[in-house]
Amino acid sequence: MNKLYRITLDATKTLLATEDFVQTFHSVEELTKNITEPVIVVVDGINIADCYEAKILKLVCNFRKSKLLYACPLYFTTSVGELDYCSDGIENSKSEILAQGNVILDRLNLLSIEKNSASSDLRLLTFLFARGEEYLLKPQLLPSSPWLYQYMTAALLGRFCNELHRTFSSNCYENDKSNHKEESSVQWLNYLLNHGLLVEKQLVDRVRYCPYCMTGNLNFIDMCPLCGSINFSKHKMIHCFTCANVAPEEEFQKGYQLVCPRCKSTLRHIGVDYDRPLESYQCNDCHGKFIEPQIKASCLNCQEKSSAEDLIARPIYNYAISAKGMRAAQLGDVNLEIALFDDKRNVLPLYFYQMIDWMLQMKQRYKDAEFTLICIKIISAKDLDEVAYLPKANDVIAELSVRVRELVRNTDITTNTSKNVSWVMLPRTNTEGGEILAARIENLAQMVSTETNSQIRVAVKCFSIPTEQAQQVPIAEKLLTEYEAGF
Amino acid sequence: MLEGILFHLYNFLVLPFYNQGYMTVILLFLPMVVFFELPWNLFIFLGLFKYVLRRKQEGSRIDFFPSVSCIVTCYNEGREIEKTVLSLLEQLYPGKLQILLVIDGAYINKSTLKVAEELQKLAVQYNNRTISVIPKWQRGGVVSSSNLGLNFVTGEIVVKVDGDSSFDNNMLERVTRHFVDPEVVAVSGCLRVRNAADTFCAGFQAIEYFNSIQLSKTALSEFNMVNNISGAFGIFRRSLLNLVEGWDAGTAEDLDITLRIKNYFNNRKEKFRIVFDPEAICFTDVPETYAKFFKQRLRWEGDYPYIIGKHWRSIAPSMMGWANFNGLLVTMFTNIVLPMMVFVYTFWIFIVFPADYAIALLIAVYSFYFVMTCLLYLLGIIFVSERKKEDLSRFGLVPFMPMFLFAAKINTLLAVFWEWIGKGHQDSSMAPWWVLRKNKF
Repeated sequence: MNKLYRITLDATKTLLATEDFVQTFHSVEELTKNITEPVIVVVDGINIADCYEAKILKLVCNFRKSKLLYACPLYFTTSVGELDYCSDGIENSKSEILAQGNVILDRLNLLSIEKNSASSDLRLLTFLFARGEEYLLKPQLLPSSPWLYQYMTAALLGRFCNELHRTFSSNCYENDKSNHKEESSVQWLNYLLNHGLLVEKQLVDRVRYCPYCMTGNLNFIDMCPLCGSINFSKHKMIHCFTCANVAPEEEFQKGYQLVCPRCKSTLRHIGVDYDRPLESYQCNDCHGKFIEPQIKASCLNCQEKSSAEDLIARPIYNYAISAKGMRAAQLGDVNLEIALFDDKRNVLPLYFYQMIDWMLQMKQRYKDAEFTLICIKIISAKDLDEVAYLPKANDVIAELSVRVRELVRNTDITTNTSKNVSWVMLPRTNTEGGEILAARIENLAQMVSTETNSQIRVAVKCFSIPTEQAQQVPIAEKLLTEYEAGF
Repeated sequence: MLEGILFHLYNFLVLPFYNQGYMTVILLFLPMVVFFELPWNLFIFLGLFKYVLRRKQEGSRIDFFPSVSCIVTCYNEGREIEKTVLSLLEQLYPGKLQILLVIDGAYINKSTLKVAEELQKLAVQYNNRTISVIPKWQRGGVVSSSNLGLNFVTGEIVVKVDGDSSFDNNMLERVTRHFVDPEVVAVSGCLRVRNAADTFCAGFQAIEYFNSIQLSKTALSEFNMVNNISGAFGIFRRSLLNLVEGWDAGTAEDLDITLRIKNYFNNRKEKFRIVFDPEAICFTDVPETYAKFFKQRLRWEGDYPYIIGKHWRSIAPSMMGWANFNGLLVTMFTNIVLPMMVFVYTFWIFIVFPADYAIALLIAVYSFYFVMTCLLYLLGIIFVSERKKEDLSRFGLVPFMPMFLFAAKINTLLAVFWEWIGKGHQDSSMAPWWVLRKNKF
């Protein structure tokens, strides 16, 4: 069955015959309106002379954004330089395109494409799944890009189109005024790697990024460690053996001789009359003396200066999809673990609910078998998956997790009912005790909102279930879900 | 016995001033002392005063700083070459300096090569200084090293030094100033002893170096009669080296090149001059024991007879001018004839005269040499020494100098015979035997 569709940019420059294709269109929008299932798309009629970069970029952006087409095989008939990486290859023969494209389509049809299109992680995993575990997501070295390396396909699928626009002829699009604090594809893939959805293959390079804006165009400058001025000069020191005077060479120079300014002896022979104990520097602005200039990386994007150890080193790998990533693509759930609890006392929600039911019955029979529940909810304005890529979000949540675990007692039982909601069950604790702990956790949680500029907020609430509810067990699941939704 | 000696000494040294008749005795018994050493020393004094007067009139240093290339011939000096390179880098010379470290037999002298490569990195810390290491894998002798280095030279002035010498930091500045004068084709640098304080033997050599190099050559230079541009420290105009086609194979290549330069002294329209500069100081280590000293001299002193045998055709006043011809005769005399005379004379007086008379005669000769050495040394310290205190501190050794020199003269005699009989120049550490064997002379 032929599923070959064509998008023609310049009808006069086409390389393939019209009858090879089911239909020919002129834009991605036209194409999407006319199809209902994944197809193989060939971009033909590329006119190299005619501002092609912007046109191609716009086309691939729309293509990879499309809910139906994002993971479909895409071929160019002519090479378009760096942008070749956005396609599945440069092909001129129909049979070859069909052979390659159908393999991808077959695998793609195993997945629920439209459902997966909701999350950028899943979009990428679907794309990779269709191309198999041998397919490598390769970085492109783009010196003009603020990130130096880009994974173009990933950038398109992850909707980091801004990243590409900055690199390629940004004037063809409205200039994006957003600062570069936003994520790049490099960091995103690194994040997915850390969560086991991708596996790293070959290490291609290691790039250091500015910790303030996460861009990689850095200029290393040496400066005065005292005042930060770059205007300083080197002074060689001379040590006079006769009187042990140590001073800069300039003070010794007298015509073509070295004469000690203190003891007036002529220093003729290195090692016999004098030596050079060290070289030192003097700042021409603050006149301070120092042994070693300080080397800092000056960011060409945000002009902030950082010392080398503060720079964020990111490995640049060739990535491939992992087994876990494949499963995630199939299930349509990446299940990123940003939840608070993951240790031994953390139980599956099902057991947690059963335990609550049991505790309720205990409480009914024995008056002192009191218990309290605390619910911790991570709330963010955006989709939590997207937020999780924020450079600091993971660190902050990891930090919070450690602190909360310190507060929680050994006898407390925890669970994560969803990726942003966690519960703590405090046995033999009354409401007041629970409130105290809840207040403490809330205190800690404030750190999260400050660190992430209120993009992420953590809500904490204490519950205690009235005894009368215990009559109609099992009720815990229903109750807890109600509570969760209630605040 | 003692009385006899004193009586005769009185007759030799004091009486002649009162009684003309005794003069004949001195004339009879001290021929080489009076007829040769005295005029020669007077000649040296004359040159010295000429130098002092001329030096006083020399104006301030002209801004003439040609580019300099320094060929450092290294063999197995190892860490020692660090001193050389460091002192070259340290030169307070505003012009360019290219340092060429030629390592002979680099394959067997890996440690020296390693040090050289380490030192190469130092050059970046200095302005206008570059270091190139030239590993000469096959050992071929010091001459081949110099000639190899000559291929890579970029400077107008070429300094040829040994890998174990070091220099005062104004050496280049001093040495290059002579080349303003287009007549000057080469400068002979002043050698000083670095380890003079280590042993008496080294101390004696320091005095000897001072008198025979720093002082005597300064004087000879005034008459353009510098007898030798030392192989350890010679400075040449590059165009001259091209003219004489570098150094020639065999030992005593320094004396050889000096003679070949002198061959142009009389047969060219333009005048050539070789200058000795007592202010351009190079320090070098000398043998610290007498055994090593005599061994070294045995090698060196054979140079004169060897070179004369090699160059006898060109030794003529028509080639080098009368002054240098005479100078060469004097040098030949002091190096070949005089040692023999001293040797024979010493034995002869003991055979002919009674012991007390002979001893008195020897003491008289000794006193003459002592006075001469003292005079030269003191004048040298006053007029040429740049390290007056240091030189004065060795003055205590001067009374023993005639003895030291006498022993050296006897050794020279041995060297001459060794050269004539045993072809001593082929027994040289300067080049491997398979190279020397092929030399024509």
